[in-house]
Amino acid sequence: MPLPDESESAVFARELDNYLSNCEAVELAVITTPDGRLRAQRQRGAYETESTAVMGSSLMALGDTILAELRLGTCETVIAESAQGLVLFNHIGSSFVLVSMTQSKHSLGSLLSWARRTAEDIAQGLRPSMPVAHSASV
Amino acid sequence: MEPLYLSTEGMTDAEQMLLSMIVSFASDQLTRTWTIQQGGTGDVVMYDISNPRARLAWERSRTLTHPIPVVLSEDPIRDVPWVLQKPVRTQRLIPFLNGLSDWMAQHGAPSSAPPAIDRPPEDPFSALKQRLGAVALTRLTQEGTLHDLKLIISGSVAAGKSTAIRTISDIPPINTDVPATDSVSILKARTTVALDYGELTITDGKKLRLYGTPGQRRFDFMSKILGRGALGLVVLIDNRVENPLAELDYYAAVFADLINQSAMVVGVTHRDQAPEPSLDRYERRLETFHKSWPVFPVDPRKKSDVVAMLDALVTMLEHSRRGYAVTGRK
Repeated sequence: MPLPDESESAVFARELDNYLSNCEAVELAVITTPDGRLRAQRQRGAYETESTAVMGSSLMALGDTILAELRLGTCETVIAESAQGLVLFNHIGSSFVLVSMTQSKHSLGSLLSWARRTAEDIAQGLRPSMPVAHSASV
Repeated sequence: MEPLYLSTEGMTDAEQMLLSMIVSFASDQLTRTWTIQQGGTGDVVMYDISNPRARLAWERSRTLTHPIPVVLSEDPIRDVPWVLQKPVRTQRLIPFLNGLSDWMAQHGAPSSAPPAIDRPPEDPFSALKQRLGAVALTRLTQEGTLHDLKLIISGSVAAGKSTAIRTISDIPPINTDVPATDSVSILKARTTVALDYGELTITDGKKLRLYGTPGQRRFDFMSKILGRGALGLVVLIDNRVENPLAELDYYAAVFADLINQSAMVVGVTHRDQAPEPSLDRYERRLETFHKSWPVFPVDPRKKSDVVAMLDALVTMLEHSRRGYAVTGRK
């Protein structure tokens, strides 16, 4: 797997560190390409990240597809919820996906807010090289 | 002994299929071999008189001795020699057909010339859909649920899975393709990361769902999810990859549970760019699995190619539902 260029890695590292320090609830944050290649991760545990990246890209694509199919615009967030926790999937422009996980079910609002902000900050940090618009293919 | 031919008038496809199933499954209880067909003129014509057109046809032919008219009716009918009560059930049909064949033998009723069928040639795709419907209905009667009316199209990256679904789907297919960022981008710009989805409308408006899996191995979790309970599997192998036969082994392993309970066909694509390995080598490789899975050269853009492949799959499913071995190359 080719390594990301240095500036991209630096942006990912800085923003993920900020994410975990600002949002106590987030226990795992993964950045993946839309086709499922892990690019960066931070976590407070020992979670599997490669498969999280792959599945994150699939879930994000399914979210894009169903919203496009239903003519509901562009997918912003996919939420997977269980009794034990939450996983959020957010676009970072059109080039990456942010996967965030918490075991605190009551932290949905906080996690949503910080995940969106982190995704925007990463997209901002990577400009102008990264396109922002994204779309699903239906 | 030559088979007897029973044609039907006015029965729905599902009823016709049920009739054929009973005759097939209970063939060891029948004193003669019966061949069931829709339309045409057999030794016996079974009229479902709940259908007005069939009732009219029966009224016109009720005095004939050949073909022998049989009435299929929910209500008892007097003064008619051959009446079978609806719904058709094994315990009714078997003694009825045995009684009928005995009577024909005793009365020297003419029989057994294959009947002329005067029907326009069917579109292969329409015929395939009807057969898929019959296979699906069998699954319905066996399991009482329609949840698994789906076929899986899997295989190598860039083998043409999404294209095959697009070629035959009755609806615009749904894709989850994104820009490829790895070595796949050399072959194509975009790649499927969750699934492709298409539909075939089969018998009685039922939908057969077509699912295409992602080709990259890191997405095999999707293949396992999609494969659960599927009716059958199509594996497309791109002959351009480094070791296509190893790809075949790989997908046979990924879908081992599915293909042990169902059936698989293999389509080899891009043979114009990479003629080797030959189809013979694929067949020899499949022999190591002790399965008689058919192998086809396929251009997924051609409807006739995809239909031919599905036709073979349906044939295997039809054989498996009759209790024959789907496999068995010795």
